[in-house]
Amino acid sequence: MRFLLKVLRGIRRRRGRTLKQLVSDADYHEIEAYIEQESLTGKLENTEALIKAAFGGSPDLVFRRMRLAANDQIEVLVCYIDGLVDMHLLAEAILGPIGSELPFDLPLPAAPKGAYDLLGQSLLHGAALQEVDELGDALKVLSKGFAVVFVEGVAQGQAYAVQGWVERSVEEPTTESAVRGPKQGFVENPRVNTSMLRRIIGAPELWFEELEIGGVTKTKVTLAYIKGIASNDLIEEARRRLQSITVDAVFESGYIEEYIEDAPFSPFPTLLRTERPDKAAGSLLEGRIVIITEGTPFVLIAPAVFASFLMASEDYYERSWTSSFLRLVRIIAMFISLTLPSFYIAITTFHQEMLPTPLILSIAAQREGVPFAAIVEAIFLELSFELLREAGIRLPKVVGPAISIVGALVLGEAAVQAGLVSSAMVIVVAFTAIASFASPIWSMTLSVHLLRFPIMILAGSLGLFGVVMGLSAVLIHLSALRTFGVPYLEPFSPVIFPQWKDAGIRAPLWMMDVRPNRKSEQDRIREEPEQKPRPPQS
Amino acid sequence: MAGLEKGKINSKQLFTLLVLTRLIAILLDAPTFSATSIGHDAWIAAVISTSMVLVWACFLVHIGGKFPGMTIIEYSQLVLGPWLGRLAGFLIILFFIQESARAVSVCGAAYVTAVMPETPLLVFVLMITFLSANAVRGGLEVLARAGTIVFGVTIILLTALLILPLNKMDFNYLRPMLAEGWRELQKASLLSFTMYTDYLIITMLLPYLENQKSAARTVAYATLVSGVFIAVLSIVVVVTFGPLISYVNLPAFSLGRLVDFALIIERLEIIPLIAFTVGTGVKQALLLWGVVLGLAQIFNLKEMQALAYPVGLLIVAFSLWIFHGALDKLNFISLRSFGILSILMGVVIPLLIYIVGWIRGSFASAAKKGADRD
Repeated sequence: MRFLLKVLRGIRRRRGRTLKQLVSDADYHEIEAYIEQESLTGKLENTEALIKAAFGGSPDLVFRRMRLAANDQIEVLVCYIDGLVDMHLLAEAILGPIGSELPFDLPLPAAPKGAYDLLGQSLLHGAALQEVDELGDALKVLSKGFAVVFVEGVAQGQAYAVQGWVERSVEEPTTESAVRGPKQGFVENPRVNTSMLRRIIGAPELWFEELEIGGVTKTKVTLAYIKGIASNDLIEEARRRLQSITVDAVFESGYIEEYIEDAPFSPFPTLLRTERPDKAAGSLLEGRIVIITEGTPFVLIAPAVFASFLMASEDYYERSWTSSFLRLVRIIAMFISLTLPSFYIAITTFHQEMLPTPLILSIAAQREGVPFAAIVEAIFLELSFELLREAGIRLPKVVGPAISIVGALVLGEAAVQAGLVSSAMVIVVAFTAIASFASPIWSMTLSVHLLRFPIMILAGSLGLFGVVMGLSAVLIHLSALRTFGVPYLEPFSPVIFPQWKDAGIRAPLWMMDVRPNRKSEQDRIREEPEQKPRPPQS
Repeated sequence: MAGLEKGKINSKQLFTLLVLTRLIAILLDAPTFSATSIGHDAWIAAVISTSMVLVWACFLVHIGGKFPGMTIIEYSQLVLGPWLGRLAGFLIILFFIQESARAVSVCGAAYVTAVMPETPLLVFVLMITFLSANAVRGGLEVLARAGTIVFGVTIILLTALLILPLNKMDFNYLRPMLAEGWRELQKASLLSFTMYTDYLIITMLLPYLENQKSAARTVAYATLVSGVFIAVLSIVVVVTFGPLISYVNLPAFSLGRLVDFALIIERLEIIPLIAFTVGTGVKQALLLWGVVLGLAQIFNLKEMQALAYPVGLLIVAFSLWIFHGALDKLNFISLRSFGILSILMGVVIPLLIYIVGWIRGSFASAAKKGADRD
């Protein structure tokens, strides 16, 4: 690299080429190195040319050369990217003060450095001020929506936070809607997201750490935890994993997830994602960490055990009995979604004696005209269901009804009429589909969809034995999984009875007086015990 | 030693593994019904044999406590000397291999005879062994965690199985007690005791237990709980089948066949068979783990995981020719063949190690060694 730089500099000196030409010939890394090499000289002409060259003369880059109204000997360059800054704010906080007389009896600046300091200390009032000494820093903050002010003769710049751009407002989360509970979801702006967490958790122990990941995208990634509740090992581990990412682009939290998850080849997700601030806050209070990525409303929660994929934040807002019942329903739904077609295939193909005679006769009568084996039929229908689902998500909204008509009529009705599939199989597949959508976390739903097919093939070849073998293989895999050091099947295996209060069932809140013990010496007391509400003793 | 198996298990996991190991033994073979003539007194034999197993298991824990942090393979070398000790360890490993092969072969045979007669035995044996070898590669922790879930499933299914045939039970079949006399009962109890020699795996598991002090209590609980299940199972089989019990070969399986539940599901024999299969898988994985660890310790290997698949393949081959048929299996389960073998392996060898160790004063040096390691 250093050699390259030398060559580059040599080229510039020898042939006297302009900066712009030089940049346009170089590849990405050469430009990076070149920018790093260049420094601010204090000559506005030069600075403008450098910045312009680095951005390749992009039209959204705006330069404004002004003279300080208080002392027209001093020249000022204001530089920003159009569209990333709030124009009103810019005019009011930066351009306005530069172009007006000094408001009160401030000493008139004579030297450029004096004017520069005066600008920073009292004249300009952008919210956050950041000194930039290097060209690279200036370019970086420009891309983040800062306005940078340079003064002729000073080899430094001041960057003011005047960001303002169009963004989605806080809306109800679309993928995790709840009947009862807060209706606001995370948005793409990480600052808004951290503010939502702060508004829920008032304690100053809620700490954020910000990292910049992505060599090209320079995406802000925020690690959030509650100091004193999350174990230090966990925080350290999360920080280490995040810092070890070196990649050019991060567009979504899925990118982060793939670089920090424990088992990259597992079909099961080992990080939980959510759009709901209340869920993230709840996780923080259980001693977990939250990773907020710029540009996506989905935040990551770690560690995420298997049981947490069956929980919805609504469970804690409804009463204990109903929530426990709903969790049970979700567990059964997940099991059905994973195995129902397999059981159907196995029983109709190998174990007809398990069904009562009238039922098996009726199924046999339906299957009479069907030319395929049950496994073929099932795979055909399951695949067509997956197709329908995928098409339903991707296609333009206006054609939505068409596809559902085609799906319902052609696949459901006509295929049965034509004798291609039996109606019992259609019922099984439809039931499986409904069950699969009862899972509150989409990534887990997809994993289950994926695992269904191998188990179906096993069922078609070895009957219930095959199903059992398939499930055992899944079980062994799950037992081997860990998520940030926590066994994935906890608290069911290894058995931790106190945590069963909030796993398969949801015990009343006043019973859950201790936080889940994530191997920590940390604060584990959630509430005073003995808070069961009682009627007044008369 | 610590380098070979890095995992640790807690006492709950030890409990589940031991209960599964013992329950699967009785679900697989029911010698008290088929191989002896005591018939309806089988539950008394179950109670007596459970107390025998209890004493014996406590002895195993006791001897393990004398050699802290060591498996039987290691302390047999310490006590009997490198060569004789290795020989004893190797015999125990062979016994584990045989038990593992027998378990998986019986399970596969149950599928072949009852559910899928045209599928070769190899398919079942191979798949179960492949999965358990897979679990062994994951280490003891994976094995224990999978075992916990399997334990839950098995216990639920087994309990359902013991309750559902309630309408077919006639408790008069339990009478008269001790019709065949004490001598037959003694024989039956001893035979029943020999069925649980797989418990010898305790001597391999103990060094990996987190809370060493709870070892004896955990083992005792596991023995008692499984004993209660076996006794209840014996009673249920007797009162359900009455005079037919001498023909009952796989008791749990036959019970399932009788069940019809609310006109939805009939002939639930597949349900015990499922419990049975996953339980056999865990038991086999545990034994396989013992074999792999033992081999690694005998030959001073640096890593044990690599042995899982080869030894698994050996077990598959062994399980295919271990029996020439159902009759052969029945004949094998008797005091004269299996009984002698298992008493030799399970009782004589540990006792020998204990006595020789006591005479040679190996306990003190072992305790010192253990203290040094800590």
